[in-house]
Amino acid sequence: MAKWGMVIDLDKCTGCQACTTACAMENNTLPGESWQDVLYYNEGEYPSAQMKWLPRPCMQCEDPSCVHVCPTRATYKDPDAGGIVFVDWNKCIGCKYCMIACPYGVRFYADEQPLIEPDMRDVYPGENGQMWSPPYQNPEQDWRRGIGIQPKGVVSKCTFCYHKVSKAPEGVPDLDEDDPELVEYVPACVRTCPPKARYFGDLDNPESNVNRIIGDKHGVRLLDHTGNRPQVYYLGAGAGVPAFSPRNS
Amino acid sequence: MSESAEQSAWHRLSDAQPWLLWQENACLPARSPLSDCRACSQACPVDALTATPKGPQLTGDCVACGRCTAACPTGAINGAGLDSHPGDDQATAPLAVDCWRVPPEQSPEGALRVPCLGGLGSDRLLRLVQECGERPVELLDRGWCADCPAAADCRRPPVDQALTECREALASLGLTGRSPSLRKAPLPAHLYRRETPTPGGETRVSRRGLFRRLAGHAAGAAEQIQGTGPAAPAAVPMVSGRVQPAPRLRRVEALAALAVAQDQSLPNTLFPQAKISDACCNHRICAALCPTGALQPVEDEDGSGLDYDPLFCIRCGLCQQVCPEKAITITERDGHPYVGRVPATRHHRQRCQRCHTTFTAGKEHTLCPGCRKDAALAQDSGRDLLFGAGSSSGAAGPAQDPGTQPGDHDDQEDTRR
Repeated sequence: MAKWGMVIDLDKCTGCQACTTACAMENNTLPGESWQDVLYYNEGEYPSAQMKWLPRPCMQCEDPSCVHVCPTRATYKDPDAGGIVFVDWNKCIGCKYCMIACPYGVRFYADEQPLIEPDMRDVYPGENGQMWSPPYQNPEQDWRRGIGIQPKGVVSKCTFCYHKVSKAPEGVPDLDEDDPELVEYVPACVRTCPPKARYFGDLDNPESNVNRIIGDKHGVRLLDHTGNRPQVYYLGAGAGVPAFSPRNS
Repeated sequence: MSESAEQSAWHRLSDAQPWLLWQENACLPARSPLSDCRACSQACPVDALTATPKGPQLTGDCVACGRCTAACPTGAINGAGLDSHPGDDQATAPLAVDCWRVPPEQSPEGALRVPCLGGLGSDRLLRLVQECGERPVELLDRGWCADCPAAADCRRPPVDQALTECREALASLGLTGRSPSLRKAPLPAHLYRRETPTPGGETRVSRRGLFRRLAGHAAGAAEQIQGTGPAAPAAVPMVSGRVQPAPRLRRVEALAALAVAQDQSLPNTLFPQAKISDACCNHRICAALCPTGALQPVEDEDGSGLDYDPLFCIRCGLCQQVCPEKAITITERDGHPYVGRVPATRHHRQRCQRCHTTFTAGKEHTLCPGCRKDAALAQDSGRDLLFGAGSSSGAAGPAQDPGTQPGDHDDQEDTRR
């Protein structure tokens, strides 16, 4: 089985947030609950200050901290499903241990007040146990993998668009949105990326394009010192992946 | 959802032993990785059963004794033929309980035949005693019990421990005379059926009947013990995904019926007590994880908190293990009689000054936990949290020393200029 990985080229990324929007549309997440977000930050001081950004999906770690802390085995890494980390909404009790454990902050529990009124949960009240019922709903639903509109009291996270990826033909090295045969199986954020800064493919396949560019362009993983070994790699010398240097205090 | 229905259905543990059934939903290690319950594998006299995170696995040669079913605290394992009742209500002669390994024609008339006496467990023995009324219960030791593989190495009949527990429980109600007796009725050794008995022709209860009885029993257990005077436990609406601890309910039910007949109250030792200290922050993870629903989250006019019903508590220890504040302990009951479901904690609700949601927390907080986290994030910049302090910026700007204060950095800039 493939081990799905994503490569994000920070040299190409323009921070347009198309991925964030596409993800929210595809997965029907509540406003503010962005499984795929772009973080903006400043670096340097005047006069050499720079605004920078970092797209941040779930890293689908190979050794995920979130899985180790779950007291009900609701969060699990499925090696038979491309090594994606899922939340089983039937088992999740909403204790948020995984949110504390995750070093990347990519798990969500929608219990906060919305930043922008009105609250969509009041505008579209939930039916069938869902937290809300938006007018358009993606028909894909699989609570065992945390796909669909989430019920109340559970943690949700990026699934690498498993409902699309899982339908891809067996053994393909890369899911490339330029390939008309495969375009339907590409995760929403990858498919929509206007500057084509994202690549999606099989990390276990030595022939895959993602492996080639990780090698050629020295792909790095975020917070590698945690030992989580993400399946998401960042590229880009000029863009500068934020590096970690340990705190002295 | 259909998923939970599948989990609460009975599955065969192994095709080789179709009579042994298992319920995923009720198995403690299958429910939570925190549970270290190994009761079934520890009870297995031939080490055929291994407790794994996916539930018990039958690996070796099962001798069909059913001792695992007697040991399981939640009744997650069950075997055909063990959930037996005395057949004839009118009989006055002692009720003989015999083993499947005895040829049927050798058993006394009207005897209750079970796979193994050791599979009965003290809760089922107590229920037999209760259902038989004044009729004595006799367990037949055919002289080979101590040599049977089901007795393991201890050289005592498999039923020995259950019998002792049963005797103690009855003694606490002053009913020592009603205790089942182990009667020696030796048979020639050549009659011993060496091969593992199969339920074919033994069970008079069909499988469907067994399930119906099991389900009816579990559902009716709480109601049946109502009206037992001072120690009447209240029926609890079960939260979905919770299991009824059938063996415990069976035991309490039988003892309650016996106690009513004796005009006595149940012994306090039967009901544990939850002690929750002031450190409790109302996370309520304990209640979310409690397998039997003994701890339940409640919201009422007094505030938000927990209810505790010791009737359902099997003392699995999960609540103590999972509490981040180490605020809860389950102990023996001290003094106060059991009065059913009681409020264990109540926290007052407050309004968050920032987002105006109601939350429950200690008195000193004015912000809800979410807003508190936001405030902390704003102070300790988000970048520091994500990437660690002093992240260097690669091409742009000078590499910053990890310990450099913002002031020092300004100095550097000044000297360069």
